[in-house]
Amino acid sequence: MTELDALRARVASLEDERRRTFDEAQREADAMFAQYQLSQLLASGDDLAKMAPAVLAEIARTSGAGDAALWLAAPARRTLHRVASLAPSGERVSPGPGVGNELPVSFPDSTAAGRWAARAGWFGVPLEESRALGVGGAGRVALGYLAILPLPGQALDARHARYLGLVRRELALAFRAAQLRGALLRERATLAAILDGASDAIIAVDSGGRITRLNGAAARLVGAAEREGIGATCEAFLGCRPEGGGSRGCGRTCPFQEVLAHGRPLVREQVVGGVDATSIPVAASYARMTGSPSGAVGVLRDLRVTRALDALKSSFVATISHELRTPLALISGHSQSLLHLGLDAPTSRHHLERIGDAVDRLGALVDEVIDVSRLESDQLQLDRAPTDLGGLVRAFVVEQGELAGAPPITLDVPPLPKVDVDARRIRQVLANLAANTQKYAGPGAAVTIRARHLPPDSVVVTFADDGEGIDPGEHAHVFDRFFRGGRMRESRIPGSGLGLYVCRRLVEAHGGWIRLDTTRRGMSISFRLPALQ
Amino acid sequence: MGAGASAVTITAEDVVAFVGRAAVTIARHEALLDRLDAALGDGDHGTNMSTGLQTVVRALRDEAPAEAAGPLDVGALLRRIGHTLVASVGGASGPLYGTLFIEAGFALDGRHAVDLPTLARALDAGRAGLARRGRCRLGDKTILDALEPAVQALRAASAAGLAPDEAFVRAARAARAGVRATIPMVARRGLALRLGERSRGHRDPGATSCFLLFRSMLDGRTSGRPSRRRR
Repeated sequence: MTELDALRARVASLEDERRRTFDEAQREADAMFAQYQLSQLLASGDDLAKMAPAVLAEIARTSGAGDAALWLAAPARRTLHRVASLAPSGERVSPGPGVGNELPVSFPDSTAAGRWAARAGWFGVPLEESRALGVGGAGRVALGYLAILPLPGQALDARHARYLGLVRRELALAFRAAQLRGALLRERATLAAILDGASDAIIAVDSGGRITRLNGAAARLVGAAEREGIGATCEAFLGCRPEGGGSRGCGRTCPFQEVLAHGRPLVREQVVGGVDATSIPVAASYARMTGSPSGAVGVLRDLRVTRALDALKSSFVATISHELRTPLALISGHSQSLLHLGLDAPTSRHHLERIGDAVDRLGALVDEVIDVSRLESDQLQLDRAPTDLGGLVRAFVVEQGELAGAPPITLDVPPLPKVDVDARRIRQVLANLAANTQKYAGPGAAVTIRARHLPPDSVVVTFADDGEGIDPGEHAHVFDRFFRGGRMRESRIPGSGLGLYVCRRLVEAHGGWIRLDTTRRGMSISFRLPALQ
Repeated sequence: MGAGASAVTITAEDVVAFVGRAAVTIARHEALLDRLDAALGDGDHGTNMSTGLQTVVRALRDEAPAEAAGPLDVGALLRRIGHTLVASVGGASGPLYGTLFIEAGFALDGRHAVDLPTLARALDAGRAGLARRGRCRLGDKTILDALEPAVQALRAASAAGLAPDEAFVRAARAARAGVRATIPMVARRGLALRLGERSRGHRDPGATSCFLLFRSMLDGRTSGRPSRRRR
């Protein structure tokens, strides 16, 4: 071989090597670009299950596969469900012997998927969550299974296998990210629902004391709009002042600043100011939020309702003790007389009758209290039936006529459609109203019961007397629990302040309303009952 | 490259001038391309292309004094433009346009003056490279839908012995027709792939920028430039 030939051969081999290197570089660049395009697709932020067909098309095209399919697992589940395949119906002829021609809809786990792929002649790779991504580091978690079917007569070459290996990581990452994103969104929605649904005011501030988050209850507490609060200082929004202290502004004693500085949770009662400069007593707890940037959360419970309940309870105890003491005193007195005076039979009988009256009154009082406690605890069971209101009212009038001291009743009740009510309860409403009149209207008062059909589905009953009526200043409270008119409280007329309250609860339980007609002389109360059409 | 009817060759200076015109044209249509891309991709094709071409213009200007060894040949120049595009244009269009320029550059290796048939063949090599890298075909709603008809028109014009200016006009017209043809297409490549049928009815931003590049081959003195109706 001459020197020239050797040089030529050398040049040719170098040229070959250059071409091979160049081709290899080109293929490498092609593969990188293909992977880049897939990454872009996966990174577009859409739900992986939704864009799975596009991803599979991309994978099949790059790997030169004839078919591709993707199964994914629900969070924390092992079962894999097919989310996409190139042929939408999932039907294809599989080259594997003894294997059905349909793609499995699901696998119990990725091992089963691997067994199926091996039988069916598909090339599959499990998608797994890598340890680095694992929340809690519980080892590898199967996320899904990707399988491709090489074109008939073609084997998967090393390049394609390598591409699939890369794709598998990309897919696992994208899917896990989508799962985490979904979990985060759900978590956030749940927290938002809890926050907004809470009846206590919840306010979050940043380290500078500016409000970053608040719920509807917080806005309602001070009577401001929710959006007014965001960005405001907690001081301006709440108009805080220390309990008992007169000066506005919480300054150094701001509980938010305190928990931010010390990190210890704080519970205190304080007074905040509403927008109309009212003082609102609240029981509040404060805690520092962990994480960065730091902040603090305060939960404030409006004490006005609690305190109103306390006041009501005191009033109830006062009323009831008074109501109990009067008949008890009577019973005590009469029984002392019976015991010590050696009375004749007719006189003894008189004392026994008074004792009987007092016991009746006590019994009625206890019944009322029981009624109220039932109404309060929502145990009220209505035994509804189509009822002839006219018949009910007439029967009631007959009953009333038998009671001593009951006012005379005039009826104005035309033929009416039947009402859908619990008759016993409505009779109780009428009885309470009548008892009310008997107690408060003054001697000689007369009652009119009027009923009218209010199309389409109402019957309105008006119960009116021509007595002394109710002080206009007290109109708003007549249906409140334990409320008794000032005139009544001063009088010796017994009463628990529950009669009209019971009426209101009963009528409302029927889906109706009750109201005081303030334009009339005397007392006129109307209530609505549901009529059958 | 607008070499004029008398000049039959294209030089590195023509290429540099073309890149300058392309950068201006793309910058002027940046918002349009972004808007087109917003419907199909991530809405940054105009910004990406504009930034990339301006980087190319700066690179060519700044590196010019270093070329003491003599002017770059057209092939090396195209490859340098291609590499700069790969590195500076975001998204998939950087590697794709880069491949177009690099592959065309390989075909013109060592040449300081290029005649029209050679240029057309080089662009066809660039087209083949882009199609391979993007694994796209005509009708996939990609750059190729403007590029392929334009290169074919250029080859036909050069085979017919037309002057470069006239050939470039025909290429630009073919590219524009190609852009229009992408409107009813369903995307089969790129980010628009995930839209499926919903990609129908939108002009492809890549094909549009490709048309704008072909239009920039005309130097503006030439009559018969494509209509401006599309603005």
